[in-house]
Amino acid sequence: MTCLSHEQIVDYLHGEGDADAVEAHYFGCAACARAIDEVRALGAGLAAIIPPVVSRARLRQLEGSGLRVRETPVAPGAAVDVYFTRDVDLLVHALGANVAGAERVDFEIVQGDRVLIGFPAVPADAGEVLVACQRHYEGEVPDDARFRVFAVRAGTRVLVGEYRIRHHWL
Amino acid sequence: MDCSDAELARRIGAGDRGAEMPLARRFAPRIRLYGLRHLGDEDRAADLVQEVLLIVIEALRAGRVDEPDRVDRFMLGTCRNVIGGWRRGERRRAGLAAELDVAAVAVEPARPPEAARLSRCLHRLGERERAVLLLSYCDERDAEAIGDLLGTSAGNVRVIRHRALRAVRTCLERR
Repeated sequence: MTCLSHEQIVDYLHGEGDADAVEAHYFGCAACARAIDEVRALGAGLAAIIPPVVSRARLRQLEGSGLRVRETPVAPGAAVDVYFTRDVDLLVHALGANVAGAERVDFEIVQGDRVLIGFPAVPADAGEVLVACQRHYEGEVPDDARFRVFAVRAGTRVLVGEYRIRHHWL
Repeated sequence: MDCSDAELARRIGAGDRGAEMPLARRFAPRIRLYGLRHLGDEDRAADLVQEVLLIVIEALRAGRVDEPDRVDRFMLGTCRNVIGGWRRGERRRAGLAAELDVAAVAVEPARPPEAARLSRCLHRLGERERAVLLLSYCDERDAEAIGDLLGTSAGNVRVIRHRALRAVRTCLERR
């Protein structure tokens, strides 16, 4: 009996693929049932993380769940200092950005000309992109990093805002 | 040496009550997975575990399982029937509940990885892989919707998702 592949397991958990065949297999195979549960737990972990960019609705939900949030508005072109103090769980940088009519909004962090990390297709509300900075990001964002927001309109990607945000971890 | 599922099923059919809990412990995780997939939450999946185990063990005791060697198939069929019944508004059974303490059949689920570790592994992925995972799990978008956003096909999104999840698992194992 051949065990289920990683691909079959992932598809099954996403409601895709041949569910009947997968179920017929794992009901007779404890090892595959364990493997499915491990991938399921990984998915649950991913669903539970706070993504680096959140929507306003998600931010309200997080605040409602008791997270202590400090929000800093940052206009395009501005340079600000932010302080991740011990009385805060989530430091939100509300990046002002004209994303009206965008079919997609991308966010990236750059150092010089080098993209350190990019996040295509992030949530964006009217005129703002909310970056949810978390304690475990400490050490990952260099002092001279710049944040950039792009709007994709009619297939063209345009820079709509660049921001300097210096983090102080206290 | 551990008995096979089929051997346990045959022993129950022959009146061996000592084989019931071992069989229940083996199948509880599989029934729970089925419940999570089809019912969507832990509480209802736990109800399904109880109900299915009670029905199957009762059937094995009464000799109503034609092929005890295929007890896995019988268990799966019972899962389908029970969920179908619930959807039609059928009530749950008490049955053997008092006699067989299936509530005591603990399922130890796999635990989600710690958020900070997971987040670090996510940040080590390529841009596209990371986007597919965030859109799939945090935004709960399907492959079609993600494909539309990223300008690729749903099939390609699935391939990226497979690859990205595998990379995250490897990263978590390493750290």
